[in-house]
Amino acid sequence: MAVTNDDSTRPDGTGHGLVFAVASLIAVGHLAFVAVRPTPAAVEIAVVEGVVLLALLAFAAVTADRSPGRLLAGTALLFVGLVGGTWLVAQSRPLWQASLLFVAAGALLSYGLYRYQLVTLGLVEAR
Amino acid sequence: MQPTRRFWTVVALAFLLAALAALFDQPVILLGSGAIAVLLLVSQWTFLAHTRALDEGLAVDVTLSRTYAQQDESVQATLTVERDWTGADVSVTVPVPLAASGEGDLTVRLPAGDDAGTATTQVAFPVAGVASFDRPTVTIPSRDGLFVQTLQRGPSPSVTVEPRQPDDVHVGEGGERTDASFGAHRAGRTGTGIDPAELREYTPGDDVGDIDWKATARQTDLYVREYEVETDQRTVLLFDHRHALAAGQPGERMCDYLREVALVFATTAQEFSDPLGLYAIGDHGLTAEFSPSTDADQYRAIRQHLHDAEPTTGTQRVPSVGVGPARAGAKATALAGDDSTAATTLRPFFSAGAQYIHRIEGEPLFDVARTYVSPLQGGVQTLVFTDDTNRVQLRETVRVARGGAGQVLVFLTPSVLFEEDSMTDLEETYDRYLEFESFRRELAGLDRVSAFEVAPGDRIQAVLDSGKQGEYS
Repeated sequence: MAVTNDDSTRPDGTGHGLVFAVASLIAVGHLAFVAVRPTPAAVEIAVVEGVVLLALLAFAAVTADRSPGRLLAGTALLFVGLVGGTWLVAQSRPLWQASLLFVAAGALLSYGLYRYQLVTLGLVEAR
Repeated sequence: MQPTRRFWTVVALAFLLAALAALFDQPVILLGSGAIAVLLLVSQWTFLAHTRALDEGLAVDVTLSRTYAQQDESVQATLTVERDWTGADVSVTVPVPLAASGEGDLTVRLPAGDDAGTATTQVAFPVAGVASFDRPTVTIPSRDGLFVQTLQRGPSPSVTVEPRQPDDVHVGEGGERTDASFGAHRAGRTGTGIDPAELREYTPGDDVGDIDWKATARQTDLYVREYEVETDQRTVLLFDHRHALAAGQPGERMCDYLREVALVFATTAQEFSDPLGLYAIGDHGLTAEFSPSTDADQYRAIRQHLHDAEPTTGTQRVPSVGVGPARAGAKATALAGDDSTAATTLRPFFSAGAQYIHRIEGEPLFDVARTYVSPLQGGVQTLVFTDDTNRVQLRETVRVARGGAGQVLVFLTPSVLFEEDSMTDLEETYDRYLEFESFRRELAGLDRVSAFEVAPGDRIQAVLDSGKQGEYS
């Protein structure tokens, strides 16, 4: 995949800074939580992740134009699957293995979306 | 879908959290990394939906003011973009073709909310051929700046660029257009063929199959139908493209006019499957040599060479004031009994007829006619395309090309009509045109020689009109 930084393609939309804000909030929030509670209880973790889920849903609601319901449901499902799955794996496996599994799952999903878009836009040429 | 630097920045943040989780053995930090991954996936999914929505209702069109143009002519290109879904920015660009020059690429930028836009530009085509525009490139950036998608949508129009060429070619005699269909030929005798020629009475020895029964039924005797015999006319083009033929405006030079006529003959020869040859003459000699042949590739090669033939460079030719060998001999005889100073001075020049012939042999046009055309056996039709600058040489060239049984058609461009200031003093131009016409008639008066003028129709008409007005006033 080529990387572009062409000024002419930079959007002026409000979502431009929002994604950075949400990502930074998630990162700083988790680091701060671990700093305050190095050994948190399961309930505490559930509460924090619930807040993160709400933030992600809010982000999805802001950026969605078509079928926001599907996007919100998909976001929740994805969060539960990816974050919950990572947590479960981390309980039974070494953390580095859980990290690798999480990275592989995320990359696979992203590549799947990428291929799906190529097909829907008719950009896949028959060999 | 192309990820931007912003995308990779967020990805790096997720990896950083994962690394910190492993480093501090804190699975909670890994959950943060997972949450950022979800954020990226949601953004990607949203962009996918936006791209599809935009693509479904997007109409991109590129129209050209015309699809045929002459070299260096401008064509107006218009890019029109319309869309149904206006939720995101989009830009559409059509680059100017490589073989063209323009004010800049055609670009329409539609910010979110705008549903249509148009852009126009002027594009000039300095190179002849077919110039194609690339398909418009639609660029869709995601609203969060993480992705960019480019699509090729809309048509890919092309412009056929034709070289500049004269559009009013006058071929005629004494200002009158010749309506003859050049190239068609008859043998001048009857026999077997396709086109009916005449009826005659049956004579013993005629083939019974030649009897025209309808005519016989109308008469009391047997009648035989004769047909025009068709022959293969060997045609040789002697095309002069020395530097003197460069006179005239771009695309309307003497060689451009002669080229048009020569191409007509080349095409006609191919249609009749006549053997066709070409000898093209530049300032320093032969630039193309094709002996008469009916090979399909040769017809194509000759046409191509005629298309490509440009005036060569060489020493400046000056109008010759010399005379041919025949007249030189007559002059020498006339001066024989004259003891004046002028006659004494001029006599050696005129009496050296043999040397004069030797001198003219150094001229490429004559030399080629003598070396290549004259040895051709049988009735060859030689077409000479040149100007009237060097009349002595041309006269001798025609005599040599005519040979024993050949026929010569000379196509001459009157150089006076191609000079820059020829239209400023029409009376003087008319007088010089009359000199040209006299020379043309002289050539046409030779046995088996026809001579035609090739010139811009409007110019020759203007000069003739001026001459007529001068005669009436």
